[in-house]
Amino acid sequence: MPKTSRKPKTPRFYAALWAAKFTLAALRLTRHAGGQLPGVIAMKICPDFLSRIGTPEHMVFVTGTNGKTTTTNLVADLLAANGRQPLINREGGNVTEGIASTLIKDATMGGSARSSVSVMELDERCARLVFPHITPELIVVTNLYRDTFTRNAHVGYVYDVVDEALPAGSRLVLNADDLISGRLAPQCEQRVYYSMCDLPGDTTEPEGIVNDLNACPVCGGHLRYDSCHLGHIGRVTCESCGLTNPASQFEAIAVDYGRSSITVRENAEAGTPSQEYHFSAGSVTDLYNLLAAITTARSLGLSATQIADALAGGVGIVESRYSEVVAGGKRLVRIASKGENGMACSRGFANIRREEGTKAVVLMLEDYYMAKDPTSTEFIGWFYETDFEYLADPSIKQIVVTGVRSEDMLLRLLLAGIDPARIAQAADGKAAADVVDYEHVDTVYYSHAIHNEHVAEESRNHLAHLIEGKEVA
Amino acid sequence: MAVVIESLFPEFGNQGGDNGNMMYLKASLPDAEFVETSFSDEPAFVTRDVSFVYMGYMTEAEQEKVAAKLKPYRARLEQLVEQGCVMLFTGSAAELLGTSITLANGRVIEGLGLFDFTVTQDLSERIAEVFLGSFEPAGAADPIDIVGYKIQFTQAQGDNAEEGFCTAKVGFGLNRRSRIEGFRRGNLFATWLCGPLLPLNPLFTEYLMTLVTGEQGRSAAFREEALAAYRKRVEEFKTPGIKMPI
Repeated sequence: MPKTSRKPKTPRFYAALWAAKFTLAALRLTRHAGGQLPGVIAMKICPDFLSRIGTPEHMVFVTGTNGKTTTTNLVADLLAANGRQPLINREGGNVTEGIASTLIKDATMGGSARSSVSVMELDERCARLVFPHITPELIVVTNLYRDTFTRNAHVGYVYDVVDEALPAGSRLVLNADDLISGRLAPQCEQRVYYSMCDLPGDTTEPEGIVNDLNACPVCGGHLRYDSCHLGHIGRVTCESCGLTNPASQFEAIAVDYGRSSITVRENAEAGTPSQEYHFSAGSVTDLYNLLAAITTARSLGLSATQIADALAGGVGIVESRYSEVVAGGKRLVRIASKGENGMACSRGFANIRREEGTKAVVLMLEDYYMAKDPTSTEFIGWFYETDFEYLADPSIKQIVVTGVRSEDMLLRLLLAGIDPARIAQAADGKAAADVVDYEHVDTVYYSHAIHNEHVAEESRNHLAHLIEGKEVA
Repeated sequence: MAVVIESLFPEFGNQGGDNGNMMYLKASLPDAEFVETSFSDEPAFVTRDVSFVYMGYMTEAEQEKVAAKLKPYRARLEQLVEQGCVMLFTGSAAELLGTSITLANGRVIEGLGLFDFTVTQDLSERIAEVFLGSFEPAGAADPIDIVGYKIQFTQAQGDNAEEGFCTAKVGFGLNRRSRIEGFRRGNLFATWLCGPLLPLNPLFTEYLMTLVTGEQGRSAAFREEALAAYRKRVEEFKTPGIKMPI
């Protein structure tokens, strides 16, 4: 286990720590959240603050494009259920200052860590700012996809940032099914891989309008996909140089949806029996997050039985981006997606398409904050990286487009082959509820950006009122 | 000649929604033949005359591969330009037409050298800005407002005063000191504007359609809806202090 070497605590460090502690107390007193503010102040006073503050003996960081939050929470909950309550950055934020804030909250006035174990989510781009100061015991990388072009450029850029930052002394937990993130940081010799078995709905080519793994990342050769679970994630081989998925130590070998269980075989030690684990959510992304969490928890020393018992006892009921109510016999479902992220929205659309019955879909995907500011505009290029084509499914009887970018989205929907007669436009959430043709569908879906949750909720309440004449509790 | 439109290496040139350009052109020219040339194949323009060549925004690693791939065909590309073939290179694909791209790590990618400019990458500054400019069509036609986004790590150095694509009203051109955006030579257009440039600009799309087909008056797909979005954006981008937060 690596022990992060710490720089000595200087007067400047103590000034930074105490100023941040004072800020923290003031925030609490005035009932403000303040998330990253203590960290911002500390790092302003002492730029290498992260090199000097005491850190837990066992540190885990979780990064990657999708699944960071859920995986982090799962690992933390598994540890807590087994008597090892970890420090976690649920409130502090996943950027550098958020990490600092979380460590400040945990620190004594002398700058030592109180917790012995931590599990923290880390924004991929902040890896280069955090890891020069901290060498964690474990770093989990869930996957790498294209994400938020304006900020994160392309997956190759994020790969390079993370690749260069990962400290050689850390042990990596990697997704063997992702030939992008799975190849990260050859300088890290300690690597644990997990992989998923075949699942219903797998495809033999990456599904979707764009694909981040079009050619062999080593030689540029043609890739042969045997199966894909989600975008480029799956089993793949280069026909030129033979590059293929690495062998996994934690291999999901069966998923039983009837029993809500996933069976994981541990290949590292011959003779280790397979373990069946309960899951509370069974989408592909949910299963990958759970598998990453199981692998991490096992790597931290929990036994398979301890993990299985914790999951059977209720750990793993994750806060979902899915919310359903029923009004007048109609299902009204909210599905939140990360904004400016084609993959996240496409998965939501694919799930809607897959659901049984007839549907109406209300799209509330604009950036809430930019939409409110007349001097801000949102990049809409990601509309063309998103599979709106899934919404052309005949089971989807109506699509309601809302927001300041509704003209752009309307054009994209038409290019996706959707009948204009099935598209309605609405200025806001209330107007959207007014135009939803709920009488002719079984379910109304709200596909909304995370920051639009309250707008979608208000619209759904209004729709429920229209349907039933009462608010949804 | 039948209209043949070649999309070069679409598996690469789809960053930031640049794939929307061919999507819109396909919808606008349903009777044209579209050829999608993957990186492992020989470009169609090498052995046959095509009406339109398009290449979109790609990663730096892909730029390097594509530069090497196209280098043997440089003379053929020049010949096609002289013949009036319409070409559009958007986003980072435009950078391949210069003499070199110097990456942040010091590595240099040799460009095709169709234009005399160089590109320098700076990973410490992610540029994400809006653009509103004026494009002067050939002949006596009225100028066309061009709207778009410039999202890049690079700045270009060179002289495009005589061969610029359009003049910025909002935003910058080749670099922050320049008002002239991109390059144009005959029917070859190279622009750093990225994302779905053609769906965002139905009037410019129609101008290209006229060049490609030789027919006046053809309408871009979903013209009414596209124009509504376009006109709204033109006005929006005139807002003082307009920005695109990242």
